[in-house]
Order: sequence, then C-alpha cells, then structure tokens
Amino acid sequence: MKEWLTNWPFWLGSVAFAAIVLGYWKLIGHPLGASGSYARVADAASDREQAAREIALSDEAAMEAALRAATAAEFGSEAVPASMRGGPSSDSSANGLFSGDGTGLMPWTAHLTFLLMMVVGGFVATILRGGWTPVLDLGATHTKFFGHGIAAGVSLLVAGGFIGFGTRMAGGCSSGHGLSGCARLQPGSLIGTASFFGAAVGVSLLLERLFG
Amino acid sequence: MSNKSLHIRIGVLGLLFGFAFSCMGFTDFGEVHKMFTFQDLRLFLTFCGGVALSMVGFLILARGKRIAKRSFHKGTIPGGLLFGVGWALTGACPTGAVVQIGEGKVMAGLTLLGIVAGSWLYPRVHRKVFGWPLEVCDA
Repeated sequence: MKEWLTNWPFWLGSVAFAAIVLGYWKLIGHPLGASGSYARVADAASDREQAAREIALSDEAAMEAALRAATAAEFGSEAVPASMRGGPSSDSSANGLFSGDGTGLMPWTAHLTFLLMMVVGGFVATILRGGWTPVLDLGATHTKFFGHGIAAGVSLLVAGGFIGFGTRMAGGCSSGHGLSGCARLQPGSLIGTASFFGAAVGVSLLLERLFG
Repeated sequence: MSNKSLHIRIGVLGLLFGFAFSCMGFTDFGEVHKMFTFQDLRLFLTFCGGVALSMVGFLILARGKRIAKRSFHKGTIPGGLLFGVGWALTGACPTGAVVQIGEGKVMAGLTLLGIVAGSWLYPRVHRKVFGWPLEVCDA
C-alpha cells in the first residue's frame, strides 16, 4: 500500500478539490457538477429533446440559445429571426447549444466522458496503490452495518435511487452544490449542502447506534 | 471549442477528479462514515478547505464574469435530505459511485444503477407531481 496515495492529508485534498473546481470552470466554461452529468446522461438515454426542453436555463444567454435552437429544430433555421442567428451556437441540434463560453448546454456525450474518466481515475489510483482486484464488499464498516447478503445489495440500490432522485430535486450534489456552489455563496447551494450534510450525519449516527 | 477539445478537457478533469477522490478516501465507506459521525474530521476539513480555496480562486478568477446561479427552490431541502440519506447508506456521492467502480468495488454498481434510475425518474415524477422549474447542475 503506497502511503502517499491513501487518505491524503486534508490540505492536499483541499488543494486538489479547488484545482478541480476552478480548472473545470476555467476549461469547460460551466461550474462543476457531477449530478448534472448523471442527469444529462440519464435523459439522453431516454428522450434527448424532452430533456433539453425541460431544463430551466438559469441565465438569459443560455435561454436565448435554447429558444433559438428549439425554433430552428421545429421550423428550420430560416424561421429563426436574423437578429437571433449567428454566434457559435446557431446549430439546430440540441448539442449545438453548447458554445463553450458558459452560455449553453454541453453535448451529453461530454458528460458521459467525464463520468467514464472518473472510473478510470479510480482504477489508476488503485493500480498505483499496489494492484487492482475486484472486491465484493465495501469495507469492514459497511459489512458490520449491512452484512454481505441481499440486504446490503437492496440498500445500495434503493439508497442509490435516493441519491439520483434527491440530487436532481435539489439541483446539485456535493460537487455542484457543496464545492462549487458554496464557494460562490449561492443560496440554493448553502441550504442544499446543509440539508444533505445534516441528513447524512443523522442517518450515520443512527446506523452507529443501531448496529455499531 | 471543438467537440474533440471539449472531450479531451473534460476527460482529463474527470481522470484527475477520480484519481484525487480515491486518494482522499472519499470512496471509502468507513472514512465517509467517520466524517459523518465526527469520529475523524479529516474528510470534513478536506471538503471545507476545498470550498475555502475555491472561494478565493473564484474571487480572483471570476471577477466580473457571469456564472450560472444556483437559487433556492422548493426542491432544495427535500432533495438535499434525500441525497444525504443515500450518501450515508452507500458511502457514495454521485462522484464516489463511479470512482468506487473504478477501484474494483463491484457492489457500487448497484449504487450507480440506483443513481441513474433515480436521476431518470425525477423529471417524470416532477412533471406529474411538482410544479416548480427544473434545474440541472450545468444549466
């Protein structure tokens, strides 16, 4: 086990978090948000256009780009008033909404790339720690609480559902609200983060009391 | 920016994020549980330090620039609570689940399946039951 790749001291983790948050925003043009990536990928799997329509775009430029693209998609690009045309995002496909300057949506495939490369990141870290082997449990603490059987599997599936449903309902998760949003003192992020942290503390203390 | 350049950029960021997340121990159920029960403040401080440094960074880099706002709405608290319950039970946030899979934690596949299903389901329930406008992280 390589010491320097395990349980980083808090300052190193903090620097890494900030580098990712700021790097993502600088290079991509959007604030970081992992649950948003899940949302886009989950929607793409079922109904892309529906998703594009439902997303309430929070800044005006993005809304304008969305309207422009929707109009073009519905009636052809000629239907878009000349004054609204032009710019890098006049493409009529939903993917064309993304212009890279933070005023539109990225193609959902970019979100998929992001999630898949996080898998690779975990894989590389584990290899460098001394070797990758599939493991069937989530560690001693998890096994102490949930065991090895069906209960453990069902709890992960159901709780995973809570995560997907809840982060989408709250409009963000621990990266979008917690890191990126709180750092910009966004009201939704501060309240959202307090909510999920509070609930997680409550449930963890309960687990400790019941099975600890 | 071209599509290829976007994929390269976001791919490198995902790789670094996953790598760092794993090294921090945020993918370890035991470590996450110790954070939520305040037995060990390391991860909590990691998170708070990340917020503080990002705040300084945004103050310097984002002066005068527009960044999408994250407003409070009716879904913020119930959604946050639901996510918190899920995080405490799985030891994974949305980032954690994919990184756990990369680490070889096979069981996290169930967490991932749940997250994608919940994420897919939400707008459908929202349309029928709730009325406020929907948002996603990157809107």
